[in-house]
Amino acid sequence: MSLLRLNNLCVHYGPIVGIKDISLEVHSGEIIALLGANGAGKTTTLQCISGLLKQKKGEIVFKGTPIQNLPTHTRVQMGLSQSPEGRMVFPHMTVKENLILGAFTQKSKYLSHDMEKVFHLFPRLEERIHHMASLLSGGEQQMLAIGRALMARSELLLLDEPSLGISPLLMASIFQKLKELNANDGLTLLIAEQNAHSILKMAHRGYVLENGEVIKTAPASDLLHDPVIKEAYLGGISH
Amino acid sequence: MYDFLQYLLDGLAIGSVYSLIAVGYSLVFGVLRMVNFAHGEFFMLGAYLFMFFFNLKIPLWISFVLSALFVGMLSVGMERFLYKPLRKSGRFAPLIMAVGLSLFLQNFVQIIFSPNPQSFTVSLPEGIIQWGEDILIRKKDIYIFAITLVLTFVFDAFIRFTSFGRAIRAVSMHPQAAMLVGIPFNRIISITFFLGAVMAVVGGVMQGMSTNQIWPFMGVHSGLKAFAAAVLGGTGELWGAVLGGFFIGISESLLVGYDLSMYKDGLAYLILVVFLLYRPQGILGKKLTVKV
Amino acid sequence: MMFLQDTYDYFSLPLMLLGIYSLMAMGLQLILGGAGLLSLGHAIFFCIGGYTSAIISSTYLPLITDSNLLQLILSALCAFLVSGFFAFFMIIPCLRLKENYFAMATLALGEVLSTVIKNLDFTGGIRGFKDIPSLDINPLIVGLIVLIVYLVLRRFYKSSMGYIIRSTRDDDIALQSLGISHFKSQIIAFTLGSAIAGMGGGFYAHTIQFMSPEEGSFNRSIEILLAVVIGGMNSLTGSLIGSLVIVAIPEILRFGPSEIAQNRNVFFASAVILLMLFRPKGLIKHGS
Repeated sequence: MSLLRLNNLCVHYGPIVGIKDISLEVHSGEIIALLGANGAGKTTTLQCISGLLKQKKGEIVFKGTPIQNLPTHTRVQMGLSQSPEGRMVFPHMTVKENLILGAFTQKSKYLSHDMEKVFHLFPRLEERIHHMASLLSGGEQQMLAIGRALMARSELLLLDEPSLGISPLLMASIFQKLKELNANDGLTLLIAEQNAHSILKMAHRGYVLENGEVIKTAPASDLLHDPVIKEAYLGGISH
Repeated sequence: MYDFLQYLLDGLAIGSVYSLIAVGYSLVFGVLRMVNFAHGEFFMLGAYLFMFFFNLKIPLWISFVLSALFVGMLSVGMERFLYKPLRKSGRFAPLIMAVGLSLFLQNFVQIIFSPNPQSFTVSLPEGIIQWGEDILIRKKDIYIFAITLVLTFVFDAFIRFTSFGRAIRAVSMHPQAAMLVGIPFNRIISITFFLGAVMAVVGGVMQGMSTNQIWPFMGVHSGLKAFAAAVLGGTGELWGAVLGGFFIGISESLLVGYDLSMYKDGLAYLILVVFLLYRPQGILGKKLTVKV
Repeated sequence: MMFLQDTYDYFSLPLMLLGIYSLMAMGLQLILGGAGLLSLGHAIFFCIGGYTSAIISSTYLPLITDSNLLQLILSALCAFLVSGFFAFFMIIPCLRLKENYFAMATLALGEVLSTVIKNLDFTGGIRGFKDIPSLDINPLIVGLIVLIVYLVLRRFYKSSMGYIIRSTRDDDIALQSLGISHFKSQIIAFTLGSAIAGMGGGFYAHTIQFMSPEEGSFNRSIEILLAVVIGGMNSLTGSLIGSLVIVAIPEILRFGPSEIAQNRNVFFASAVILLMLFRPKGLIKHGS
C-alpha cells in the first residue's frame, strides 16, 4: 500500500532549478534509499516532502491525501517526520527539552514512555540528558535529531544524510537500530545518503537522483551490484 | 548618596513602562527576526482606546480588557495581512511597511482625537511614602513597578511551562526545526504578536494613569527607547527586555537628577548603538547560531 | 512681465524645496537602492550640512570673498565635504551589521548626533541657528546642481564602480567569491549619498535662513525614505518623482480644506503601505 507518492515534483530556487521532475513511491514498511551526489536534489526532495520548501509543480500524496499545499505542522500531525540535513537541533535547549519538543504533536501521556524508548535506542543520549544540544558531538546530535523525530510517533521517517560527519562504526550502529525499528514497529524509512553502500545493504529499494531527476530505480540488491552505480557512488571499490 | 538612591527608584517606574513595551519588540524579533517598528503604536493605541471606552462609561477593568483585545487583534491582523505577505519580498519591505504603519497609526489618531495631548482621567492612587529621612517614593511608582514585575513573572512562567511558551522559544531558536516537530509556525507568530501588543497596552494605560496625559506621538517617543532596551537586554529574552527597560529608565532618571537632562533622549540611542556594534546579542542573549 | 515675476516669486520657495528634497532623495536612493543599505538616519547629514553652511557663511566666507555666488559654491562644497566626512566615519563600524541592525544603528546614531547638536553652543543649541545669509540662492542654481548630480549619478551607475555597487545589493556572497570588496563600494555609496544630502542641507540653510536640530530628526529621514520608496528604491529617476510627490502634494492640498492638509501624512503612509503590498519595487519599473 502506497504510503507516500511523489508525482512529477518540481522545485525552483528563484531562477535555478532544484529538482525537475521527481516521481517516486514508498510503501508502508519499506526502507527506501535516495541516492545521488551532492547537489543532485536529495535534500530538496526531502525538504519538499516535509514542507520546508514549496514545490513549483507536482503532487505529494501521503496516505492517500495530497499534502503539497499543507503546512509542515499538519504533515507532522498526519504522521510524517524528518531528521533533516544539518540535524537542526534546538541549540540552547537540553537533550530532554529537544525530545519533549519532538513530541509536540503527541499527547503527554506517551511522553515518558517514548523518551524511554529513545534512550533505550540511544543510551548515549540518556547520559547527556541535561546537556545543551549545541555542546553535543556530531554523532550525538545526529542521534538526538533522529530521536526527536521518533518522538513524533510518525509512520514515515525521512532522514537526510544521517551519516555526514559521523564515524562509520557509530553509523553502522545507528543504521542497525533503524533497521530494528523498521522490522519491529513497521516504521517506514526514506533515507537520503551519499554513503550508498551502507544504506543499500539495509534498504529494500533505491532511487538514484542526478541533476534533479530520477535516473534509475531498482531493488537495493540490484543497485548494490550495478557496475554503473558502483562506479559513480560506491567509489568503484568493492567492500 | 541618598540622591542616587532616589533617582534609582524614580527610574524604576519610568523603566517599567519601557520594559513592558520592550517585551513585545523582543519577542517578535525573537520569532520573526523582524523589528516591528509599529510596535510602539500599540502602546499609544492602548492608552487612547482605554480612554475612549472609559469615557463611554464602561467600567475600568472592562475598558482595559476591551482595549487589550482590540489592540491585540489589530496586531494579529497587521501581521497576517501586511507583514506576512512581505516575508519573502526582499530585505527592507517589512521594515518599510512597519514604518508606514507606524506613521499611519500616529496620524490617524492625531486626526480622530487631536494632535494635542489628551487628558487621561484615571489615576493610580496618589500618595507618597517616606523611606528613612531623605527618600520619597510615589505610590504610583510602586504600583507600576509591581504590576510590571508580576506580569513579567507570569509571562515567564507561560514561556517556561506551557507548550505554547515552549513553542515560542523553539521558533525563536530555530524556525525550521520548530516546523519539523509540528509547531504551527504562523499561529505561534500570531500569538507572539498578540501577547506583545497586550503588554504594550498595559504600558500605555499605566503611563496614562501615571502622567495623566497621552498624545499621539507617545508611541514613537517611548517605542524607540524600548527597542533600545530590548537590544540591550538581548532580543528574544523576556527578562532581558525587562531589565533593559529598567536600565534605561534608571539611566534617564540619573541624568535628569544630576542636571544633565538635555542628554536624556540621546542616551537610549547611544546605548543602542554601542550594543549593536559591540554586543548585538545584548546582556542576556546568546550568540545567534542560526543564520539570520 | 509682472505676472511672470509674481509667478516666479510664488513658486520660488517650493521649487527650491523640491530641488533640495531631490538631492536628499537621490542620495538616499544611492544608499538604499544602490548599495542596499537602509539608512534611517539620512536626515542627520542634511542637518550637518545645513549647520556647516550656516556657520561658515555667517563667519568665514565673507572674509574670503565678496561674491555671493562664490560664497554659495564654497558653502555647498563645505557642506558636502563635512557631511561626507561624518558619514565616512559612521559607516565603517556599522557595515558589519545585518540589515535590521544596520537600519536601527543609523537611526540611533542620527538621534545621538541630533542630541549633541542640541547641546552645543556654537550651533545655537536647541533654539537653532538664525539669520543665515541667503547668498542670493535661487531655484535656478539649485536646479542646476540637481541636474548635475543627476547626470553624474547616472554616469556613475554605468561605470564599473557603479555596477559593483548595484550588484552588492543583490549578492554579497557572489561578489566576495570574485574577490571584489563590496565593503569598499558600500562605503563609497554611503559616503557619497550622505554628502549629497549634506549639500542639500546647505542649500536649505540658505533658503530658509534658519537651521534647527529638528532637521536631523527621524521624521525628516522618514520623509525622504517615503520619497525614495514611492518613486522606487531602484530608480534614480524615481527619487525625483518621489520628491515631487512629497513636496507637491502638501502644496496642492493647501488649496483644499484645512483638514486635508493634516491628512497628508496619512496619505503618504497609506501610499507606502499599499506600495509595499503590491509594488515593492516602486512606481517606476526599473530595468536593471
